[in-house]
Amino acid sequence: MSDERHIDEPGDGLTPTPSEERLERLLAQMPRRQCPGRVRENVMARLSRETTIADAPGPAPPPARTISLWFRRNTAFFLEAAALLAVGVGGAKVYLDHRAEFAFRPSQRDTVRALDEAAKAEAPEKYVGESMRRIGRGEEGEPSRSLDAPTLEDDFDRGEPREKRAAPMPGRPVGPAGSPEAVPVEAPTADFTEVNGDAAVELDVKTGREGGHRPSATPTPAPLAPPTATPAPSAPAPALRPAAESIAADRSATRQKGTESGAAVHYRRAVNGLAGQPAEPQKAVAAVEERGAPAEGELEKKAATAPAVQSAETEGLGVSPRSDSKASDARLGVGQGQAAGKPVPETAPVKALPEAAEPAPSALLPPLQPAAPQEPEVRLQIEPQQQARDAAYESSNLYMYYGGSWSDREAPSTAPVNLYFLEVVTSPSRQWALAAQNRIDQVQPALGEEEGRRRGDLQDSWGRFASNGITAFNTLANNFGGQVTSAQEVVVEPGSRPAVAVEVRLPGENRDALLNAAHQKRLVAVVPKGAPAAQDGATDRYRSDAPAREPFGQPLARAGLGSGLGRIGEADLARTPVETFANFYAQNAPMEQAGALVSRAQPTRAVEGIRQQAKEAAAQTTSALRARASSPAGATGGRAVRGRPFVAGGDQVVSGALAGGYAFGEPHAPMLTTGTARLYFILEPDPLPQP
Amino acid sequence: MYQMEKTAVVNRIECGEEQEWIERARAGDLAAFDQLIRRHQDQVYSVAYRMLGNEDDAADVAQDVFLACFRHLHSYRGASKFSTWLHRIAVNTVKNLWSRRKRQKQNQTDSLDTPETPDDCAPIELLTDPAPNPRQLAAGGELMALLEKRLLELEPSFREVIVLRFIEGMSYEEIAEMTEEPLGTIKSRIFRARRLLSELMKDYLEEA
Repeated sequence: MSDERHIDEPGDGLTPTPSEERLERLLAQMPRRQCPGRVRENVMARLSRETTIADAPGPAPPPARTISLWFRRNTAFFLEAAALLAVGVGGAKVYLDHRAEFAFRPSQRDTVRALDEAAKAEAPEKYVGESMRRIGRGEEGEPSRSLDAPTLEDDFDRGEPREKRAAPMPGRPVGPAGSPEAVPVEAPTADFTEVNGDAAVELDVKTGREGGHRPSATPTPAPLAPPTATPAPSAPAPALRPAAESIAADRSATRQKGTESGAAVHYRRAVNGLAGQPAEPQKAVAAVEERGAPAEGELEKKAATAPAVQSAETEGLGVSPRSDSKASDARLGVGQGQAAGKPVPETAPVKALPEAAEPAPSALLPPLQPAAPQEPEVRLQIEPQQQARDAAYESSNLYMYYGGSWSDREAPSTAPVNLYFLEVVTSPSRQWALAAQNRIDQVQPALGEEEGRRRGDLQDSWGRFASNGITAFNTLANNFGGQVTSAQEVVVEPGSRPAVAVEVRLPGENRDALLNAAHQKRLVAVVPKGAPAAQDGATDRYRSDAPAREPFGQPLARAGLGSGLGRIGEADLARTPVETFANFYAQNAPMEQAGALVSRAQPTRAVEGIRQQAKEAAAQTTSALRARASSPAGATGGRAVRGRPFVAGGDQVVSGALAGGYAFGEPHAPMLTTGTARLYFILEPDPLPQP
Repeated sequence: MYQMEKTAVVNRIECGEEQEWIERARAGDLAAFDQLIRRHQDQVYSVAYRMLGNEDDAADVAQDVFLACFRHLHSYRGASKFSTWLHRIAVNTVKNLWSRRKRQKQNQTDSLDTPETPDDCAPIELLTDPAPNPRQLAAGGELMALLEKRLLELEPSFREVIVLRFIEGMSYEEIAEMTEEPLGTIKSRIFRARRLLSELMKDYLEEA
């Protein structure tokens, strides 16, 4: 033992005092303590446990069991961020749904001006006459042309024949406003009530009946058309008032009811009008007929053509969102008429706007198209979910089935040589959809097969899963230079579904790698769709020793795994046509637990078939290895090479899964004892998440 | 002269032997690591004991040091002596223990064995005979036992440099490398620690 004490250096540069020198001497004389022997023994014992063959579970818990402290500390932040994100997404969705309602629309004045100009260009005499009539109304000192009073557009909307408008109507005062002729005509209230079906309208009609011209405190608005013509006193403008009141009542009633939004109506009217759909006009016609309107043919013609023209001209150019505007009244009237069965806003004056005045359909479309109705899309989303849920439920039932003689359920399988393990890293909802989509065709039957066939497959389902799962896991172990040496059907918990406990022997240095790859992982072993069976005549692409190609190549490289084994995500699964071979949840079982599970295994469900397969596989493997060793090219000498399957591609069929063939927990052969690790995994059928 | 040459040759042989053990232990040879433990266990244990003042704690620390040494043997590149590297692990392990105990001290109940303050005697010492126990007598007498006690009263950083410098006999450079602190800091710290300890031991040193 070296004792290198050199305290005779110059030190800190300061000469120590005599007492300090004595102290230094005393300290140097302090005896070195003898280390107790138990320290070395404990260290060696512990190191021996860690470095020898890993029969015991690893000292450190697997990383999947632990939650990092950092994550714990930031849980609150994550929750807040998630909540904010959810609120943001919800808000965005609501905004997108109602975006059209907030859209910009041109003002009412612009709309009316454009309407007037169009009318003036086509029928100047008519326009002048109407304008003069309106202006004359104002000049004659009409006490109020309230916001609810009829305008030129309201006259159009009325859609009534000129002769009917000119005739005295019940409830309409006769004669100019303020004149002695302005006497209200007694109107049968029930008539309007029957049509409108609305208390507000009824009240309004009563008001009109009682008061006739209602004085209003609001100032008279500016005329919508420039007063370029002389007044036309002959126009019976006050006669339109009850109709305008009726429209206003309709509007207020609709506001109370909160029916269809303006944008939706805007869109629907334009589209329906262009497409010639008579849905709303038919309602209008029906309502007018109910009222006993005279000219049905004319009304039908108007109804079929006018809404498109009127709504497009009015709204394609844009309508102000002002609630008191007349154009808005006309626009809102569609929804109201639809809701309350009133046809008034839907009917447009054909004569006032002749056919030639219709603009091109492209010009009629509103500048901002609201989103298409969402109902069909929602339905499309729901249907696959329901299908997936049903499939998942059925799959779960199929998985749950077990019982009866094992040998009866033993089913041969011809698995292709390339097995890819897809670690499905996705959300649970996506997982069950994915699992339901990629049902295990080898394990469970197709849904549309015959009942008898289904029953047979039901009985085979568990056996097929077991053999496929062991085969797949053996392929996984092969990539780590190991092999499945034994398997046993176990029941993880009393009363639960059966699982398969497999014993894997592999080189000790690959033990952790296999644990990382397989422990607590949901693994889906798939075969490429259309892959040929494991035969000598297989194509190069699907040979077992062929390198993995896209899209498996990159995930393979990322995972650091060899060929024939992939760990890919759902994106790869989605774009790659594959057939699921077996999917299971692998979990490392400590020795004690594995032993306890095996002791709980029921003898009736012992995996006799698997053992038999193991023995056959052992014989095949031995013969293959001997043949390879005897051949000049037999370079591996019977040792498994990492990244390559243990057996050549042509030999690797399902029966080659259990190359060792030892019984569960039995002492193994001497050639496997040195430097090998023994791991136990429990392979459970992947329980599909409950929908 | 002959003796010095002989010692150097022995040292070279020992170094070569130790290097071989290190290589073998790095490859997983537990027997070689056992040899390394046998060679350095007393040094490690002694450092831990002088810094902690407790045999059980020192044994635990030594055990942890050797386990950590084996697990991180691949990171030893031979830039410094193996013993220096081992001492560094030991010092860090002791420091970790100190900091751990410092955190746990708030929840700790009063112990009859440990004093709460440097000037405070442990309660059990008030009840027992203040005379040195047979182990202290066997270890070097009353003065040595008193020196051990006063050493434990020093601040951990002072205790550390006193142990490494005067008891283990390491050079300033080795201590600086081990504690990862500048050489000047180590020198001044040793100076102050020595002066403080001599003041604590003033009466006894003058008598001696």
